[in-house]
Amino acid sequence: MSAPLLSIRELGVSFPRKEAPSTTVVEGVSFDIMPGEIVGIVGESGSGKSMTARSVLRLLPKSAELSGSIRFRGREIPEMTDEEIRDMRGALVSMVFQDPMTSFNPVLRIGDQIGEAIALHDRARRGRRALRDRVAKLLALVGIADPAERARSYPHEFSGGMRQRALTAMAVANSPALLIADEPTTALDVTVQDQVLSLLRELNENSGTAILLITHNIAVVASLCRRVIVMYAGRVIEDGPTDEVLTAPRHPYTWSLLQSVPRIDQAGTRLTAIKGQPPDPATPLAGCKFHPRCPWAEQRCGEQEPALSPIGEAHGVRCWLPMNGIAAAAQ
Amino acid sequence: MTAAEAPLVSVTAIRRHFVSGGGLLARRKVTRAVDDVSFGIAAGETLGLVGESGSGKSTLGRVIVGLLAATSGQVAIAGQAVGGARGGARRALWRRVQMVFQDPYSSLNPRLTVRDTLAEPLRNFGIARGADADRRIREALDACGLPASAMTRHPREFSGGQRQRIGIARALIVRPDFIVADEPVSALDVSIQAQIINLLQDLKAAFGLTYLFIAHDLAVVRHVSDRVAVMYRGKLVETASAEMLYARPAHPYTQLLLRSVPMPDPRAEAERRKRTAASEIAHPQATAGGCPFHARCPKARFPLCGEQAPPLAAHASGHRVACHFPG
Repeated sequence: MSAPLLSIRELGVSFPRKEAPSTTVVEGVSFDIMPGEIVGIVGESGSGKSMTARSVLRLLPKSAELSGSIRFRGREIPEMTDEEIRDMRGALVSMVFQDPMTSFNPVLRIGDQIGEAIALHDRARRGRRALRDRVAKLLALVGIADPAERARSYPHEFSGGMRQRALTAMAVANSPALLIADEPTTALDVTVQDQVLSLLRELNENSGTAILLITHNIAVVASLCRRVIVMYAGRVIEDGPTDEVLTAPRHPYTWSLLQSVPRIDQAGTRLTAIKGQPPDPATPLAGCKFHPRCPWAEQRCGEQEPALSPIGEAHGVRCWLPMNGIAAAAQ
Repeated sequence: MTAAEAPLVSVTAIRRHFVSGGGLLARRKVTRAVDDVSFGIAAGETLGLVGESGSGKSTLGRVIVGLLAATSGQVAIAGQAVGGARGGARRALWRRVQMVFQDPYSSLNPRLTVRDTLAEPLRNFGIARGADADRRIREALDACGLPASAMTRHPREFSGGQRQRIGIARALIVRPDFIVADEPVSALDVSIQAQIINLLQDLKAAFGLTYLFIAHDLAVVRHVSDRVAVMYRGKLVETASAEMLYARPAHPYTQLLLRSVPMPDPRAEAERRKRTAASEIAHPQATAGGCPFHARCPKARFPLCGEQAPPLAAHASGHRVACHFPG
């Protein structure tokens, strides 16, 4: 078995506060991404999924305190110099954000911005014409018609879907080994979302780019990812093959989440909502972070936090009373 | 809805155009956000209105509740034209129609307590003041799953889901017959979405409400709707019962929409992907007139589809489609 591309161990992210204990938003997060693998992190707002993703490219807010280890091809990212990080970003690891409008400079042409991203890491030192050809090729790859012509457009002249595709073109310009996509389809219409998902799938198949996909949308994970990590209140609460986790979840939160989503292929029965709301990270909570909302919580669930423990092949769950995996199949 | 029964809400030939430009140098440009839309909603029915961004669905919702004036056309509640009513009669009519907004953060005044927020419509419609108003506020909060202690607090003290409950209580407090809900759950987390969907369904049953439920999430719309209308570029392209529309969509645009939605079950999703070839058609023959969808339509035939806009016509019982080649 080959070495992992990205290896995260005991990652923690917290924000210090004046005259109060610091607020912990990510704690004890560990996982690997193998070369060419597509891994999804699913969670709701405040679950720590975006902070986890941003730690990899050192894009956390200045006030954040990072702990633990993040290794990319064996090299410790938190210890890299600024120059090393710049070399890595874009060339080896790149990121697509949710909002394609704010990711482009509004006063520069789309093609020039993509060209700049290529030139920055271009070992071949392409000339202007070669660069222009490469930009057009990339725009064609992401399905933009008349790519040479459209490269001269400004960001506002593109629709939301086209901007997201152009941004993806920029992110993959240097065939990175790892693409981090943070809610890449959330702002998009469903027909455009389908195109962007296909684009990511093709990129993975044709270039072997590994993808870390951050999303709140379980269906997007089902569509793209072989493996899924479920986060809740800064913790990984379940991690396993998508087929297993989404059809026979072992953590009550994963199960509840699946129950609360309306299905397009089923007529409406009453949804099983999760009562209450996620815990406030500023207020310490003893025990399992999900226990106040868990229908099966026992006394020890409120006293001691369970560890993420193996429950099957490549499947882990952080629960004292993991589900037997049958309940969801009967839904 | 039987043919004999008059709908509670009837929308007739509504148009809403926006004009931009028209200065010294720029040419005047008219955007037909809503272009000749007609439908009815029976009492007690939930009509889901779906469409992508820019389809005009939110503009239509705002015209129906009177937040935006129609360029032409008419909205009638229980047979009374809203445009024709004046003074007290007009106010009595508007009291029957309320709206729930997408964003519970920006649709509530941050300076007002929950009590003041809910007292305002009671005062505006001359329904209640003082102790009577407080009693009604407590009832509305209770119906929406909020404690009476919420009354003295401000919106910032509540989570997104609770704020949406406040927004729903504000709509409910004047005892409307009809609520237009514009993307009421799309800003909420998945686990909170389910709570609000369930609440809207409970309120409908308890108070006999009629809904126009506007959303882009096709799974949510299927879940809540009795009937569904699909909007594309300002026009209705298909209306049918939710069951029929999702099982046998007849308009190529509806078919494209439904094909595009990924499914949370990995096996069902793998099946969907096999059926779907995600390719966007761009017809070189596309023209400015004709069916609004013809430039993207896999079934478009020329010159007909590029020249003549198909009317929304009966396709099957209770199923209307605006397409020259439906099915």
